[in-house]
Amino acid sequence: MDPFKRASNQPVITPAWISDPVMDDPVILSTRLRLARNLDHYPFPHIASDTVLREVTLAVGLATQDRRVKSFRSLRSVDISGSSDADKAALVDSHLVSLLHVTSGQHRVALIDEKHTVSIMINEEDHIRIQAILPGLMPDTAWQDADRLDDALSQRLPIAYHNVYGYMTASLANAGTGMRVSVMAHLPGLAFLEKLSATWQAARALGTTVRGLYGEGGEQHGDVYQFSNSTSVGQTERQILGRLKSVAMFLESEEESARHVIRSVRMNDVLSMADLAQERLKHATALTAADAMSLLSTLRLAEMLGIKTYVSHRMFCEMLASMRGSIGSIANKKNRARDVFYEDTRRPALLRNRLRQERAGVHFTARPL
Amino acid sequence: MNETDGPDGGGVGYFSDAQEPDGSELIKCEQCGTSLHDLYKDGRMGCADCYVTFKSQVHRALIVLHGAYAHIGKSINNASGY
Repeated sequence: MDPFKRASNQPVITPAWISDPVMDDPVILSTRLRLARNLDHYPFPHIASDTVLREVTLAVGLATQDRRVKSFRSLRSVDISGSSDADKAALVDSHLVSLLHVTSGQHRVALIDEKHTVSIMINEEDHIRIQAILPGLMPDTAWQDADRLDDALSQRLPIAYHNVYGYMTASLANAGTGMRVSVMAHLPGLAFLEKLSATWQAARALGTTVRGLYGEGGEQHGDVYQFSNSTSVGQTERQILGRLKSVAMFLESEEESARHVIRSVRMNDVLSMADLAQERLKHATALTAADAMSLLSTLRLAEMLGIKTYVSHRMFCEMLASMRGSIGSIANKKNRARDVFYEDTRRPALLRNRLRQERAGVHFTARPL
Repeated sequence: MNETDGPDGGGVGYFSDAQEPDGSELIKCEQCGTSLHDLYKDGRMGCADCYVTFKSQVHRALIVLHGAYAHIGKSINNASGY
């Protein structure tokens, strides 16, 4: 029996963290939690043969076929290895799978639920990466969603677990709980006041790691940063969640203070920057993902401070998930320059069209790629 | 870019900074064939058995990376016999 016979190569990209904002002008755009798990007796993916990788995908696929389990029922499989480069980039942008997962070769499958809040990456750095991604600051709900899937999988699969070290992962940086919980924060006010490094320093002192949008080594896009727990051994999951919540609340407070300062004494500067950004967007023929998001971040800050630029929260998140900024890392060498050029020239029109819709009050409806 | 949505480079960083013992090519995991040399070079365990084979390195790395070596979080009923 092939558990992936219904596998689709046409993912639908409308993650709940974009479509269901929990509040106006949020600082925390989304919360993501993932659990790294491995199957006993199988080599980990980076040294596994094609046969082993295929066996792992089949084992996880069969385990999730049990329709009595509610959290399995809504999962749909996406054959990552068979997806187009543009679809892979869109899945990465939506944070439903990782860049490593889509660039690792054959036998990579993702199981994604209909609401796009939970996903299981099969054969990423570990055999199983369970992930929950939700709008705003919702670490407890993300934990409940991922934990439920983890329990259901653990009852059906032999999970590698050590009595002292906990969950055995390929990288020792993930051992113990195997849990990484992160918040994606939009910090244009702190960036504008050049206070990011002081904020990062404080966040690091509170036990978190700071990264750009796409994780380690990732480019910084649109003043969006990820903050995640830096350790996973020697703390319970609840302790890790509590610490990250404190950091997220600290970030919210710092960013809101920065916006208050700007509103009081720097509005003319914001107005000038917004004018420049609008001019550049109007005439641009090509934009890198970083440049496009930088322009949008400026316009979004202006909008939040009361200058009408029409860059709503939803539009900002939609554009974040539509940049295909990772295409340069995904496309093969032969097509790379062509694909990067295509994406760079696609973005100005994408942004202008979307802004036109916002001005006209037309609500954008995300659709299948 | 080696993106794995977490500080996964930490394990690689620890081993690449540490002093590799002599004869590390000869110490191998019986289950997957990963040698101690591979571990220092790549920073990743080859399989669950590597945690037992390279126990002293694992212990030290966990303390450096996490400030602790013992897991106190969630456990599972059908845990493997490690």
